[in-house]
Amino acid sequence: MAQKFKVELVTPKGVVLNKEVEEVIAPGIMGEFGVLIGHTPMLTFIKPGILSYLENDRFVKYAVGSGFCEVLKDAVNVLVVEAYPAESIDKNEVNEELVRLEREILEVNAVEHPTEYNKLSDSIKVARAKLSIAN
Amino acid sequence: MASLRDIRKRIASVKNTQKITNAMKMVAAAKLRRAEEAIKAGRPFSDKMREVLMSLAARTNPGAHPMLTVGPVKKALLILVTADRGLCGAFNTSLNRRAEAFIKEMKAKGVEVELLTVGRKGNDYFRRRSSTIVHKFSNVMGSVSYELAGDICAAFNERFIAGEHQEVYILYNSFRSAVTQVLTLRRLLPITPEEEGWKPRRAYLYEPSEEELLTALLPRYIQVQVFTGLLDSVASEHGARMTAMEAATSNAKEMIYKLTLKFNRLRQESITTELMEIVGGAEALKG
Repeated sequence: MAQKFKVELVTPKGVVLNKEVEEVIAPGIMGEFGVLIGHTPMLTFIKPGILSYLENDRFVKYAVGSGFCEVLKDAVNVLVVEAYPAESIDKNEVNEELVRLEREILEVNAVEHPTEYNKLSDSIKVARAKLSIAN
Repeated sequence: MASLRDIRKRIASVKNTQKITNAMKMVAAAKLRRAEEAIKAGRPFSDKMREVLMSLAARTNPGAHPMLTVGPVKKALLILVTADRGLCGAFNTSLNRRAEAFIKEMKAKGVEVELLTVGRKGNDYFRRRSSTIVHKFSNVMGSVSYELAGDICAAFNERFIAGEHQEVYILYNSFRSAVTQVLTLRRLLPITPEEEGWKPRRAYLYEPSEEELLTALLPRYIQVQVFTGLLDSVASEHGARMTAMEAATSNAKEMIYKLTLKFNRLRQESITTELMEIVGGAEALKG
Protein backbone atom coordinates (compact mmCIF):
# COMPACT_ATOMS: atom_id res chain seq x y z
CA MET A 1 0.00 0.00 0.00
CA ALA A 2 1.19 3.45 -0.86
CA GLN A 3 2.41 5.77 1.83
CA LYS A 4 -0.07 8.34 3.02
CA PHE A 5 0.17 12.09 3.41
CA LYS A 6 -2.08 14.78 4.78
CA VAL A 7 -4.41 16.77 2.58
CA GLU A 8 -6.39 19.75 3.77
CA LEU A 9 -9.16 21.40 1.82
CA VAL A 10 -10.07 24.77 3.29
CA THR A 11 -12.70 27.35 2.34
CA PRO A 12 -13.60 30.65 4.03
CA LYS A 13 -16.56 28.80 5.56
CA GLY A 14 -14.40 26.19 7.21
CA VAL A 15 -12.25 23.11 6.78
CA VAL A 16 -13.99 20.78 4.35
CA LEU A 17 -11.50 17.96 4.37
CA ASN A 18 -8.57 17.01 6.54
CA LYS A 19 -7.37 13.51 5.92
CA GLU A 20 -4.50 11.13 5.36
CA VAL A 21 -4.66 10.00 1.75
CA GLU A 22 -2.58 8.16 -0.83
CA GLU A 23 -2.99 10.42 -3.81
CA VAL A 24 -4.57 13.74 -4.72
CA ILE A 25 -5.61 14.87 -8.17
CA ALA A 26 -6.26 18.59 -8.48
CA PRO A 27 -7.37 20.85 -11.35
CA GLY A 28 -4.35 23.15 -11.67
CA ILE A 29 -4.34 26.19 -13.86
CA MET A 30 -1.67 24.62 -16.09
CA GLY A 31 -3.60 21.37 -16.27
CA GLU A 32 -4.66 18.66 -13.95
CA PHE A 33 -1.95 17.29 -11.72
CA GLY A 34 -1.58 14.38 -9.38
CA VAL A 35 0.34 14.42 -6.14
CA LEU A 36 1.89 11.44 -4.39
CA ILE A 37 4.01 11.54 -1.29
CA GLY A 38 7.43 13.13 -1.77
CA HIS A 39 6.28 15.57 -4.44
CA THR A 40 8.49 18.63 -4.99
CA PRO A 41 7.15 21.58 -3.00
CA MET A 42 5.01 23.57 -5.36
CA LEU A 43 2.60 26.46 -5.40
CA THR A 44 -0.02 26.73 -8.09
CA PHE A 45 -3.52 27.93 -8.83
CA ILE A 46 -6.61 25.84 -8.81
CA LYS A 47 -9.28 26.47 -11.38
CA PRO A 48 -12.91 25.51 -10.83
CA GLY A 49 -13.28 21.79 -11.36
CA ILE A 50 -13.02 18.44 -9.65
CA LEU A 51 -10.55 17.61 -6.96
CA SER A 52 -10.26 14.01 -5.91
CA TYR A 53 -8.25 11.92 -3.54
CA LEU A 54 -7.49 8.24 -3.43
CA GLU A 55 -8.36 6.31 -0.36
CA ASN A 56 -8.62 2.54 -0.17
CA ASP A 57 -8.51 2.22 -3.97
CA ARG A 58 -11.46 4.54 -4.39
CA PHE A 59 -11.47 8.09 -5.63
CA VAL A 60 -13.49 10.51 -3.53
CA LYS A 61 -14.48 13.62 -5.45
CA TYR A 62 -15.14 17.23 -4.59
CA ALA A 63 -16.38 20.07 -6.76
CA VAL A 64 -14.18 23.07 -6.04
CA GLY A 65 -14.10 26.74 -6.97
CA SER A 66 -11.00 28.72 -7.83
CA GLY A 67 -8.16 29.11 -5.38
CA PHE A 68 -4.65 27.85 -4.96
CA CYS A 69 -2.80 24.83 -3.79
CA GLU A 70 0.37 24.46 -1.82
CA VAL A 71 2.17 21.17 -2.14
CA LEU A 72 4.70 20.32 0.52
CA LYS A 73 6.78 17.21 1.04
CA ASP A 74 4.30 15.54 3.32
CA ALA A 75 1.15 17.63 3.00
CA VAL A 76 -1.11 19.32 0.51
CA ASN A 77 -3.00 22.47 1.40
CA VAL A 78 -5.80 23.48 -0.93
CA LEU A 79 -7.42 26.88 -0.43
CA VAL A 80 -10.50 27.49 -2.55
CA VAL A 81 -13.48 29.81 -2.34
CA GLU A 82 -15.94 26.93 -2.27
CA ALA A 83 -15.89 23.15 -2.10
CA TYR A 84 -18.68 20.56 -2.13
CA PRO A 85 -18.49 16.84 -1.45
CA ALA A 86 -20.51 14.67 -3.83
CA GLU A 87 -23.06 13.67 -1.20
CA SER A 88 -23.99 17.28 -0.44
CA ILE A 89 -25.08 18.02 -3.98
CA ASP A 90 -28.70 18.21 -5.00
CA LYS A 91 -28.84 17.63 -8.74
CA ASN A 92 -32.12 19.43 -9.36
CA GLU A 93 -30.97 22.46 -7.46
CA VAL A 94 -27.71 22.65 -9.40
CA ASN A 95 -29.53 22.23 -12.70
CA GLU A 96 -31.77 25.16 -11.90
CA GLU A 97 -28.79 27.23 -10.83
CA LEU A 98 -26.94 26.36 -14.01
CA VAL A 99 -29.84 27.48 -16.17
CA ARG A 100 -30.03 30.76 -14.28
CA LEU A 101 -26.28 31.37 -14.51
CA GLU A 102 -26.16 30.60 -18.20
CA ARG A 103 -28.93 33.10 -18.82
CA GLU A 104 -27.17 35.72 -16.72
CA ILE A 105 -23.84 35.35 -18.44
CA LEU A 106 -25.42 36.13 -21.81
CA GLU A 107 -26.31 39.57 -20.54
CA VAL A 108 -22.80 40.42 -19.37
CA ASN A 109 -20.31 41.88 -21.78
CA ALA A 110 -16.98 40.11 -21.25
CA VAL A 111 -14.96 43.11 -22.43
CA GLU A 112 -16.76 45.78 -20.46
CA HIS A 113 -17.18 43.90 -17.19
CA PRO A 114 -14.44 41.30 -17.13
CA THR A 115 -14.60 40.68 -13.36
CA GLU A 116 -18.31 40.04 -13.39
CA TYR A 117 -18.01 37.84 -16.44
CA ASN A 118 -15.22 35.80 -14.89
CA LYS A 119 -17.17 35.41 -11.70
CA LEU A 120 -20.17 34.04 -13.56
CA SER A 121 -18.12 31.76 -15.74
CA ASP A 122 -16.38 30.40 -12.64
CA SER A 123 -19.75 29.73 -11.01
CA ILE A 124 -20.87 27.90 -14.14
CA LYS A 125 -17.77 25.73 -14.10
CA VAL A 126 -18.35 24.89 -10.45
CA ALA A 127 -21.96 24.02 -11.18
CA ARG A 128 -20.89 21.73 -14.04
CA ALA A 129 -18.31 20.08 -11.83
CA LYS A 130 -20.99 19.55 -9.21
CA LEU A 131 -23.27 17.92 -11.76
CA SER A 132 -20.60 15.59 -13.05
CA ILE A 133 -19.77 14.21 -9.62
CA ALA A 134 -23.29 14.04 -8.22
CA ASN A 135 -24.64 10.52 -7.92
CA MET B 1 -48.51 64.49 41.85
CA ALA B 2 -49.03 61.44 39.67
CA SER B 3 -52.30 59.68 40.21
CA LEU B 4 -52.61 55.98 40.81
CA ARG B 5 -53.83 55.43 37.30
CA ASP B 6 -50.86 57.28 35.82
CA ILE B 7 -48.42 55.09 37.70
CA ARG B 8 -50.22 51.94 36.68
CA LYS B 9 -49.93 53.03 33.05
CA ARG B 10 -46.24 53.78 33.45
CA ILE B 11 -45.60 50.34 34.92
CA ALA B 12 -47.41 48.66 32.05
CA SER B 13 -45.42 50.60 29.48
CA VAL B 14 -42.06 49.88 31.12
CA LYS B 15 -43.03 46.21 31.28
CA ASN B 16 -43.65 46.22 27.55
CA THR B 17 -40.31 47.85 26.88
CA GLN B 18 -38.65 45.28 29.06
CA LYS B 19 -40.22 42.49 27.07
CA ILE B 20 -38.83 43.99 23.87
CA THR B 21 -35.33 44.53 25.20
CA ASN B 22 -35.28 41.05 26.63
CA ALA B 23 -36.33 39.55 23.31
CA MET B 24 -33.68 41.59 21.50
CA LYS B 25 -31.09 40.34 23.94
CA MET B 26 -31.99 36.74 23.22
CA VAL B 27 -31.91 37.29 19.48
CA ALA B 28 -28.52 38.98 19.74
CA ALA B 29 -27.21 36.11 21.84
CA ALA B 30 -28.31 33.57 19.25
CA LYS B 31 -26.83 35.59 16.41
CA LEU B 32 -23.64 36.08 18.38
CA ARG B 33 -23.21 32.36 18.70
CA ARG B 34 -23.57 31.95 14.96
CA ALA B 35 -21.18 34.81 14.26
CA GLU B 36 -18.60 33.31 16.58
CA GLU B 37 -18.85 30.02 14.75
CA ALA B 38 -18.32 31.80 11.45
CA ILE B 39 -15.16 33.40 12.80
CA LYS B 40 -13.87 30.07 13.97
CA ALA B 41 -14.69 28.43 10.66
CA GLY B 42 -12.94 31.15 8.70
CA ARG B 43 -9.76 31.14 10.71
CA PRO B 44 -7.95 28.18 9.09
CA PHE B 45 -8.44 29.74 5.67
CA SER B 46 -7.02 33.12 6.62
CA ASP B 47 -4.15 31.59 8.56
CA LYS B 48 -3.11 29.37 5.67
CA MET B 49 -3.46 32.23 3.22
CA ARG B 50 -1.25 34.40 5.37
CA GLU B 51 1.36 31.69 5.69
CA VAL B 52 1.64 31.14 1.97
CA LEU B 53 1.73 34.82 1.16
CA MET B 54 4.36 35.46 3.78
CA SER B 55 6.85 33.22 2.14
CA LEU B 56 5.95 34.45 -1.33
CA ALA B 57 5.98 38.20 -0.78
CA ALA B 58 9.12 38.20 1.32
CA ARG B 59 11.06 36.67 -1.56
CA THR B 60 10.10 39.25 -4.14
CA ASN B 61 11.31 42.82 -4.17
CA PRO B 62 8.89 45.61 -3.15
CA GLY B 63 8.70 47.06 -6.64
CA ALA B 64 7.29 43.83 -8.04
CA HIS B 65 3.68 44.83 -7.54
CA PRO B 66 1.88 48.15 -6.94
CA MET B 67 0.26 46.69 -3.84
CA LEU B 68 3.69 46.31 -2.26
CA THR B 69 5.03 49.71 -3.25
CA VAL B 70 5.22 52.37 -0.57
CA GLY B 71 5.24 55.90 -1.91
CA PRO B 72 4.36 59.44 -0.90
CA VAL B 73 0.77 59.72 0.26
CA LYS B 74 -1.63 62.46 -0.81
CA LYS B 75 -4.94 60.73 -0.55
CA ALA B 76 -5.96 57.81 1.58
CA LEU B 77 -9.06 55.69 1.76
CA LEU B 78 -10.66 54.59 4.99
CA ILE B 79 -12.95 51.60 5.00
CA LEU B 80 -15.32 52.13 7.88
CA VAL B 81 -17.15 49.02 9.01
CA THR B 82 -20.19 49.82 11.17
CA ALA B 83 -23.50 48.17 11.90
CA ASP B 84 -26.68 48.63 9.88
CA ARG B 85 -28.81 49.07 12.95
CA GLY B 86 -28.57 50.93 16.21
CA LEU B 87 -29.48 49.91 19.75
CA CYS B 88 -26.12 48.40 20.37
CA GLY B 89 -24.59 50.73 22.91
CA ALA B 90 -21.57 52.77 21.93
CA PHE B 91 -20.72 50.41 19.07
CA ASN B 92 -21.33 52.77 16.18
CA THR B 93 -20.60 55.98 18.02
CA SER B 94 -17.11 54.96 19.01
CA LEU B 95 -16.37 53.84 15.43
CA ASN B 96 -17.57 57.12 13.98
CA ARG B 97 -15.69 59.14 16.53
CA ARG B 98 -12.48 57.23 15.85
CA ALA B 99 -12.93 57.69 12.12
CA GLU B 100 -13.38 61.40 12.56
CA ALA B 101 -10.27 61.62 14.73
CA PHE B 102 -8.36 59.66 12.12
CA ILE B 103 -9.44 62.01 9.35
CA LYS B 104 -8.27 64.96 11.41
CA GLU B 105 -4.97 63.27 12.19
CA MET B 106 -4.30 62.59 8.54
CA LYS B 107 -5.32 66.10 7.56
CA ALA B 108 -2.69 67.45 9.92
CA LYS B 109 -0.18 65.42 7.96
CA GLY B 110 -1.49 66.84 4.72
CA VAL B 111 -3.34 63.72 3.65
CA GLU B 112 -6.89 63.86 2.45
CA VAL B 113 -9.06 60.95 3.55
CA GLU B 114 -11.97 59.61 1.61
CA LEU B 115 -14.39 57.06 2.94
CA LEU B 116 -15.84 53.76 1.93
CA THR B 117 -18.60 52.82 4.32
CA VAL B 118 -19.81 49.32 5.05
CA GLY B 119 -22.96 49.30 7.13
CA ARG B 120 -25.65 51.97 7.20
CA LYS B 121 -24.70 53.77 10.41
CA GLY B 122 -21.31 54.97 9.24
CA ASN B 123 -22.82 56.25 6.04
CA ASP B 124 -25.60 58.07 7.90
CA TYR B 125 -23.08 59.76 10.12
CA PHE B 126 -20.66 60.95 7.47
CA ARG B 127 -23.20 61.77 4.80
CA ARG B 128 -23.87 65.13 6.44
CA ARG B 129 -20.23 65.89 7.07
CA SER B 130 -17.55 67.24 4.79
CA SER B 131 -15.85 63.92 4.00
CA THR B 132 -16.28 62.32 0.62
CA ILE B 133 -17.83 58.89 0.56
CA VAL B 134 -16.58 57.19 -2.57
CA HIS B 135 -18.65 54.06 -2.19
CA LYS B 136 -21.15 52.67 0.26
CA PHE B 137 -22.41 49.23 1.14
CA SER B 138 -25.61 49.46 3.15
CA ASN B 139 -27.80 46.79 4.71
CA VAL B 140 -25.24 44.09 4.11
CA MET B 141 -24.22 43.14 7.63
CA GLY B 142 -26.99 40.56 7.89
CA SER B 143 -25.39 38.41 5.21
CA VAL B 144 -21.65 38.75 5.34
CA SER B 145 -19.89 36.44 2.93
CA TYR B 146 -16.58 35.97 1.21
CA GLU B 147 -18.17 37.30 -1.97
CA LEU B 148 -19.23 40.50 -0.22
CA ALA B 149 -15.63 41.00 0.88
CA GLY B 150 -14.69 40.51 -2.77
CA ASP B 151 -17.11 43.21 -3.89
CA ILE B 152 -15.74 45.62 -1.32
CA CYS B 153 -12.19 44.88 -2.41
CA ALA B 154 -13.08 45.39 -6.05
CA ALA B 155 -14.40 48.83 -5.12
CA PHE B 156 -11.11 50.02 -3.70
CA ASN B 157 -8.48 47.89 -5.47
CA GLU B 158 -9.13 49.55 -8.79
CA ARG B 159 -8.74 53.03 -7.35
CA PHE B 160 -5.60 52.01 -5.56
CA ILE B 161 -3.99 50.47 -8.62
CA ALA B 162 -4.98 53.53 -10.64
CA GLY B 163 -3.12 55.64 -8.10
CA GLU B 164 -6.15 57.52 -6.87
CA HIS B 165 -5.44 56.52 -3.30
CA GLN B 166 -1.97 55.78 -2.05
CA GLU B 167 -3.06 54.10 1.15
CA VAL B 168 -6.04 52.08 2.27
CA TYR B 169 -7.02 51.67 5.91
CA ILE B 170 -9.75 49.65 7.54
CA LEU B 171 -11.50 50.54 10.80
CA TYR B 172 -13.69 48.02 12.56
CA ASN B 173 -14.50 46.56 15.95
CA SER B 174 -12.59 43.37 16.42
CA PHE B 175 -14.13 40.71 18.56
CA ARG B 176 -12.57 39.70 21.85
CA SER B 177 -15.56 38.46 23.84
CA ALA B 178 -19.26 39.19 24.15
CA VAL B 179 -18.55 42.16 26.39
CA THR B 180 -15.32 43.50 24.93
CA GLN B 181 -14.78 44.80 21.45
CA VAL B 182 -11.55 46.44 20.46
CA LEU B 183 -11.46 49.29 17.96
CA THR B 184 -9.01 48.23 15.30
CA LEU B 185 -7.46 50.46 12.69
CA ARG B 186 -5.14 48.77 10.23
CA ARG B 187 -3.44 49.63 7.02
CA LEU B 188 -4.48 47.24 4.27
CA LEU B 189 -2.56 48.72 1.39
CA PRO B 190 0.22 48.91 0.51
CA ILE B 191 1.37 45.69 2.09
CA THR B 192 4.76 45.80 3.74
CA PRO B 193 6.03 42.30 4.38
CA GLU B 194 8.51 43.38 7.07
CA GLU B 195 5.85 45.06 9.17
CA GLU B 196 3.62 42.04 9.10
CA GLY B 197 6.47 39.84 10.20
CA TRP B 198 6.77 37.92 6.98
CA LYS B 199 9.76 35.81 6.36
CA PRO B 200 10.77 33.45 3.64
CA ARG B 201 9.96 29.93 4.54
CA ARG B 202 10.07 27.37 1.82
CA ALA B 203 11.49 26.98 -1.59
CA TYR B 204 8.75 26.16 -4.03
CA LEU B 205 8.34 25.28 -7.59
CA TYR B 206 6.09 27.99 -8.98
CA GLU B 207 3.57 27.31 -11.61
CA PRO B 208 3.02 29.75 -13.35
CA SER B 209 5.77 32.25 -12.50
CA GLU B 210 6.34 33.80 -9.11
CA GLU B 211 5.19 37.24 -10.30
CA GLU B 212 1.97 35.94 -11.76
CA LEU B 213 1.19 34.08 -8.57
CA LEU B 214 1.87 37.16 -6.53
CA THR B 215 -0.31 39.34 -8.72
CA ALA B 216 -3.21 37.00 -8.27
CA LEU B 217 -2.63 36.20 -4.62
CA LEU B 218 -2.26 39.71 -3.21
CA PRO B 219 -5.84 40.79 -3.98
CA ARG B 220 -7.05 37.55 -2.46
CA TYR B 221 -5.01 38.15 0.63
CA ILE B 222 -6.61 41.58 0.98
CA GLN B 223 -10.00 40.00 0.44
CA VAL B 224 -9.37 37.59 3.30
CA GLN B 225 -8.33 40.48 5.52
CA VAL B 226 -11.51 42.37 4.73
CA PHE B 227 -13.55 39.21 5.21
CA THR B 228 -12.16 38.53 8.69
CA GLY B 229 -12.72 42.20 9.53
CA LEU B 230 -16.36 41.89 8.53
CA LEU B 231 -16.86 38.70 10.50
CA ASP B 232 -15.30 40.29 13.56
CA SER B 233 -17.47 43.35 13.18
CA VAL B 234 -20.65 41.28 12.97
CA ALA B 235 -19.80 39.29 16.07
CA SER B 236 -18.86 42.48 17.92
CA GLU B 237 -22.12 44.11 16.91
CA HIS B 238 -24.18 41.27 18.31
CA GLY B 239 -22.05 41.17 21.43
CA ALA B 240 -22.47 44.90 21.96
CA ARG B 241 -26.21 44.69 21.35
CA MET B 242 -26.55 41.80 23.76
CA THR B 243 -24.77 43.73 26.50
CA ALA B 244 -26.73 46.90 25.82
CA MET B 245 -30.04 45.06 25.87
CA GLU B 246 -29.10 43.20 29.01
CA ALA B 247 -28.43 46.53 30.72
CA ALA B 248 -31.69 47.95 29.39
CA THR B 249 -33.62 44.96 30.68
CA SER B 250 -32.16 45.24 34.16
CA ASN B 251 -32.76 49.00 34.16
CA ALA B 252 -36.38 48.36 33.27
CA LYS B 253 -36.60 45.85 36.08
CA GLU B 254 -35.29 48.38 38.55
CA MET B 255 -37.67 51.00 37.27
CA ILE B 256 -40.63 48.66 37.64
CA TYR B 257 -39.56 47.90 41.18
CA LYS B 258 -39.40 51.57 42.10
CA LEU B 259 -42.67 52.38 40.41
CA THR B 260 -44.41 49.50 42.14
CA LEU B 261 -43.13 50.73 45.47
CA LYS B 262 -44.42 54.19 44.73
CA PHE B 263 -47.71 52.79 43.53
CA ASN B 264 -48.22 50.75 46.69
CA ARG B 265 -47.33 53.63 48.93
CA LEU B 266 -49.73 55.90 47.13
CA ARG B 267 -52.48 53.32 47.31
CA GLN B 268 -51.88 52.84 51.03
CA GLU B 269 -51.99 56.56 51.50
CA SER B 270 -55.31 56.90 49.74
CA ILE B 271 -56.79 54.02 51.75
CA THR B 272 -55.61 55.61 54.96
CA THR B 273 -57.13 58.93 54.00
CA GLU B 274 -60.41 57.28 53.09
CA LEU B 275 -60.50 55.43 56.42
CA MET B 276 -59.80 58.61 58.30
CA GLU B 277 -62.64 60.28 56.48
CA ILE B 278 -65.04 57.45 57.28
CA VAL B 279 -64.00 57.41 60.93
CA GLY B 280 -64.29 61.19 61.06
CA GLY B 281 -67.75 61.04 59.47
CA ALA B 282 -68.94 58.37 61.93
CA GLU B 283 -67.63 60.38 64.86
CA ALA B 284 -69.47 63.42 63.59
CA LEU B 285 -72.73 61.46 63.23
CA LYS B 286 -72.44 60.10 66.78
CA GLY B 287 -72.11 63.75 67.86
